[in-house]
Amino acid sequence: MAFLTIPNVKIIGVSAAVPKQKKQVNKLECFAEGEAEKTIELTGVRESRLAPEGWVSSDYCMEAAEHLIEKLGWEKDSIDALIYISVSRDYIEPNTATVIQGKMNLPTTCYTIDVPMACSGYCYGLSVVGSLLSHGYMKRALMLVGDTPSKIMSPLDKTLWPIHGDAGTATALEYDPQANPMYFNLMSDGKQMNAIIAHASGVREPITNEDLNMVKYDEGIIRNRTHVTMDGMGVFAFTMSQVPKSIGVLIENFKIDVNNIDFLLLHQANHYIDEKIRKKLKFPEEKTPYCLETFGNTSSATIPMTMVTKIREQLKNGSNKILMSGFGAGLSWAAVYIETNSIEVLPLIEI
Amino acid sequence: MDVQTKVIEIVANVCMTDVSNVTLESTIGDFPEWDSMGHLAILQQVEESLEINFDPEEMMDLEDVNDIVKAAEAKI
Repeated sequence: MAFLTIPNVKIIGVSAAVPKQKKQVNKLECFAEGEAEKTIELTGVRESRLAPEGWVSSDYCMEAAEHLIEKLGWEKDSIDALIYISVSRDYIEPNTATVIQGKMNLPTTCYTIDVPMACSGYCYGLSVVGSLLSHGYMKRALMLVGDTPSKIMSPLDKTLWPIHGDAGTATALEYDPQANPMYFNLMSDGKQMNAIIAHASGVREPITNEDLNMVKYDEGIIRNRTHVTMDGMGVFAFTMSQVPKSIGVLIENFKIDVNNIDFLLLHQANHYIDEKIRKKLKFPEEKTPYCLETFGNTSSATIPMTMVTKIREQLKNGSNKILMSGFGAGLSWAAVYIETNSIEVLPLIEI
Repeated sequence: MDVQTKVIEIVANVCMTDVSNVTLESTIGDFPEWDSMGHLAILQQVEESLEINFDPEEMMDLEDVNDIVKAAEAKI
């Protein structure tokens, strides 16, 4: 098991940016009559945000970051690291974090790296950024976490398109010897790599003309081989069997008092499944906020999106003990415990 | 209404078919609508209508109508 304890690092600010354009689930053309309502009832997703042509995940992350560092009063020269966590990368080469560093005019002394994770990304990202800062050589880092699923999914695939939304977020972290440790339980299962995959999307299967042909796999499921596909039953079985267990193991290993937890922040793909996890953990409903009704599954961004849109005031005013769990493509899943103390949380930015 | 009748009625409703087409052996994939989302919809509606709660681990073993009926009956 990959248990980690990361001392000396604290979150000091969070922000998020989304497109203004909304995608209403009940108006999508991929559904037959009556299917949209059933999907809304089951998943809890009524609408999400849709990035226009030319706007991608890194643009929203960068907007969120610029607003956040301005609010925090950070000099750009003081930023030691920028980590971009997303499967929506600008290019295969160069890495997107470095592209962002250039666009934001961050110093060339800034450490930049991509972490190409999807729904487990926020939790995995905290382990990466935390590890970098914990030694004290680097003092400040920006963790940019977001995705634009609309750029990599088929609008004619009713299994994925309706429930996903676009968003970008920024989290500011600092080295602080007084900070309470972050605790992690990080897991992977690459044997299930085909559970969520875009087959023709990298160097293993270079895109051919044939890959661009739209193929009808079933009613309401039309996509090409560059689009993301998901084995729904496989992912459901994985989530039910592994996610509650991984959170329970984190709690047990680090002897976390669940009665003192203020919030359980789950990755949000499906309200019914999330509620199963919450009930299994016997966690109170009022301490488990969701934002998927209005923003959908924003992949790696669901957790920071929930922080910004649902518990902003609580995070700004006082201390909070938070459990997080991210799970998805890889397959990859992670449970994290952090403590925050009056962090800066900006209102949602709409562009 | 007994549990079996209720479960079959729910499966038929989700799969948009007549109850006469649903048997105890009916399973995931037998109807186009009984995909992963359909499966979750069936379990959700069974839970709501019978006021029960399936455990996450238990849900993975519920593959056909008979499995769901037995699991539901054990909770009533």
